[in-house]
Amino acid sequence: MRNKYQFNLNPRKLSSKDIEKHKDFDALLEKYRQSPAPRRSGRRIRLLYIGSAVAAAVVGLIFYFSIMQVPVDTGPVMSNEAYFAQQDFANPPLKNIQPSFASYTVDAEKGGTYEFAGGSRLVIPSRAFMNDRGQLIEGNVDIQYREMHDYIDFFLSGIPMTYDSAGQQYYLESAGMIELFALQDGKRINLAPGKRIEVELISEITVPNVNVSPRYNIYKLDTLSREWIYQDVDHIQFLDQQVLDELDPLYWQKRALLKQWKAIESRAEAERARILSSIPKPELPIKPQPLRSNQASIGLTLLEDVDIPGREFYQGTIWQISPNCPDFDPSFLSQEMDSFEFEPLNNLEYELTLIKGERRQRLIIMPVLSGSDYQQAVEAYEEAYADYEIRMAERKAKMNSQLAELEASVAEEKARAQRAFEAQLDSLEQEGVPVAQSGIRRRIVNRFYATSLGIWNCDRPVPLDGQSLQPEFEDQHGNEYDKHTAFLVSRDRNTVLQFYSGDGGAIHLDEDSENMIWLVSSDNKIAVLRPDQLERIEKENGEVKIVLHLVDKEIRSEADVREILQFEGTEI
Amino acid sequence: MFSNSLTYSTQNNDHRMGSTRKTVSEEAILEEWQEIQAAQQDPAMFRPLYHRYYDPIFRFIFQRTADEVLSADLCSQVFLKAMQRLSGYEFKGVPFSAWLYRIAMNETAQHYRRNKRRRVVSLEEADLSSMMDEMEEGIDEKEKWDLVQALDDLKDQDLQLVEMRFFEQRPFKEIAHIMGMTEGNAKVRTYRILDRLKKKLDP
Repeated sequence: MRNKYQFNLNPRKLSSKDIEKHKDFDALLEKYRQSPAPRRSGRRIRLLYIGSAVAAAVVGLIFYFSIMQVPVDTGPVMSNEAYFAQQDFANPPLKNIQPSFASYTVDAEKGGTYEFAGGSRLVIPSRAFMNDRGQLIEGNVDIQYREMHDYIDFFLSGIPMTYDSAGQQYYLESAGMIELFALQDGKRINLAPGKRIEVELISEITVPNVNVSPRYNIYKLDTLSREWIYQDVDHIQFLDQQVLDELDPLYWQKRALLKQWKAIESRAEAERARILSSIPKPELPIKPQPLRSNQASIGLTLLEDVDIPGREFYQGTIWQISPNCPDFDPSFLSQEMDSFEFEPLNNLEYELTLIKGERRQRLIIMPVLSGSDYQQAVEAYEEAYADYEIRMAERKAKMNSQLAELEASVAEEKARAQRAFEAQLDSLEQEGVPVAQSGIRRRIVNRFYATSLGIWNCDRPVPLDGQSLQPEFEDQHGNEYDKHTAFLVSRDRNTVLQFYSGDGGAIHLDEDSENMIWLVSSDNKIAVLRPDQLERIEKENGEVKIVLHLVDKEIRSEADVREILQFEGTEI
Repeated sequence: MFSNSLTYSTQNNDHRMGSTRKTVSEEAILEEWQEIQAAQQDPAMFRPLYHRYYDPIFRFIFQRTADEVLSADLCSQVFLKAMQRLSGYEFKGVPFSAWLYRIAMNETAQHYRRNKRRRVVSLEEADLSSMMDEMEEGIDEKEKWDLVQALDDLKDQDLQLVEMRFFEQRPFKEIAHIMGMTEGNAKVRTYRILDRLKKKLDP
C-alpha cells in the first residue's frame, strides 16, 4: 500500500455540544475587522529586500523617488489579500474593452476542427457537450474562443496571474492563455464527462538561450475557489518562424545566431535522415495463415506466377475469400477471364479484380495453407522471425549509437554558437550598447487537452520576490488613488501583477528589468508611471508619493490602451 | 425526496452527520439570498448564516482531519474567508452552503499541502459494506482491506466524490453543487470510479 491517505476507520463521533463550544461569532467578527494590516501613522514607501533579490538589488535600478511630505493618514489600512478578497475574481478594469471572442458553430453530434486566424486550432470530439441535467446535446453549438497573449490582454481581461502553491505566492509567467465556452440557444453548456478538446495554441515566448528548452505547465482557472489549478505539462514545440524586432539593438546579432542555429538544425536533420536510410530495415516475415473452415476457397491458376511477399512460406497456397470481401456472383468465377488486376491491401489480404468483357468483379482474397504445408510454413516463419529480431536489434543499436554521436555534436555546435553570441554581447556592452534584452522571441505551439470549458493558461510559476514597495499614488493634478487596483508589469516577464493602491498594498519590482505601473481612474482614464519615470524615483526611505501621469485621453479601444502602455517611449 | 425545485433530500439514514441535513427549497435559497445581501452590507449580519452552517462545516472538516482542535481552527478560517469574499458572492441559484463547503474543501486541502501530511479519510466499516453492495462485491474482511487499498490509489477529487456519496451519504445534487459540476456529471463520475475500483478488486 502506498499510503497516499490516512484512513481513519470507525472514527470518534462528535456531539453537537462538542462543536458548539468552538463557536464564537463575536470573535470571528473581531478577527474579520482586524484582518487587514495594522494601522500605521503616515504613509510612506518602504523598501524591503526579499530573499535572493538582495544581491541583485545592489546592482539593480537606481530609483529617484520624489520626496514629499505626506499628511497623517486616517483612512483604512488593508492588505493586498484583503482588498482582492472583496473584488470579483476576474475583474476587467475597463468593462467595455475586452480581448474579443471568436465565434464558431459546431455540430455537437460530429464535432470538428477549427482553425483560428493566428494559426491556433481546436479539435472538438463528437458528442462532447451536455446540458446542466447531464444530457448529451444534439444540434448546433456556439463555441466562443479567445486568446490572451501579452500584458495588455491580461490587464484588459482582469484575470489574476498570481498562484498559491503550498502557501508560497508565485506569479504566473504566461506563454499564452485561452478562454473557451459553449452555448446552445444562448444557454451555457458543459463538456461531457470524459470528453476533452485538443488545443494547439500558437504564441510567442522569449527564449534566453537557444540551447535551453523552456518549461511551462498548464493551469485551469477555478473561479469559484479563486485559484489556478495545475493540470499538466505544456507540450511545447518550436515553429520555424523567429520573431525578431528590427528596432532591437541586438537585431543583427540575434539574426546571425538564429541563422547559425537553423543551419545546425538543418544539417542535423539531413544527417538524421541519412543515418535512418543508411541502415535498412530488415523485412518483416509475413505469418502464414491457416485455412479457415468457414470461408470459401477458390482455385486461381491465374495467380501462379504472381509474386507475393513471403511466397517462400506458401508452398501449396490456397486462396480463400476474405471475411471482408463484398458480395459477388459465384457463377461469374466459372468463366475464363480476359484479364485481372491484383493489388495487396495489407499483410494478409489482396484485392483481385477479374475482368471479362465489360464486366468487372472485385474480390478480397487471402493466401492460406492447410495440413503439413501450414506446419512447414510456420516452422520456416518462426526461423525467419528469430533472424528478423536479431537484425532489428543490431540495427537499433547501430542507429542509436550514430544518433547519439550526432546529437552530441549538434549540442556542441549550438553551445559554441551561443558562446560566440554571448562574447559579442560582452563586447557590445563594453561599447555602451544596451544588451539587457538578449532573449530571442520564438513562435511556439502549446499543445494540451482542455478537459472542461473555462480559462486555460500555459504558464510557469515564478516566485513573487524582488524589491517590495508600499507606495502611495497621486497624479500630476494632485488626485489621490488609494482605493484602486494598480497594475505592474516587467518588460522581461509576460504577466501582469495586480496590487492594492491604498495603504497596506505592496508591489514587487523586477530589479533586473524595466517596470511600468499604472491604474485606471474612476472616469476610465489611465494614470501611468513609465519605466523611465520609475527609474527617476529616488531609492531612499522616507515619506514619499509616486506621481503618476494621468493621460487625458478617453479610452475607446484596445489600441488606445496599447498606445499608452507601450514600453518603447512614446511621450504622452 | 427530490422534486423539480432545488431540493436536498432530508436524510433519515444520516447516522453520523449529527444534525439532519436541511432541505433547501428554492424559496429558502431566495430567503437566504436576502440574508447574504444584508451581510454584504454589514458583516455583523453574517451571524445567522454562521450559526446555521457552523455545525455542518465543522463536521465536514472533522471528517477530513479527525482532529477537533485543528477542525476548529480551519472552520474559523473558512468563515473568515467567507466573510472576506462575501462582497464578491453572486446569486446563482445554488445553496449558500455549497459555497461554504467549497471553501472548507480548499482550506483543508491547503492545510495538508502546507504541512506535507497525508489527508485523513474517515469511514465506518458499514460504509465499506454499502460500497461493496453497490459494486456487487463480497464483503469479507480481506475484500474490505483490498477496497481501502484501492481507495488509496484514487485522485483526491475522485476520493472526495466517494467520501461525500458513501461516507457522508450526501445526495448527488448537493455533491454536484459542492464540486461545481452538474448532478449528471457527479453521478457519471461516481459510477465510473466504482467501475474502476471494481476492476481493481476483480482484475
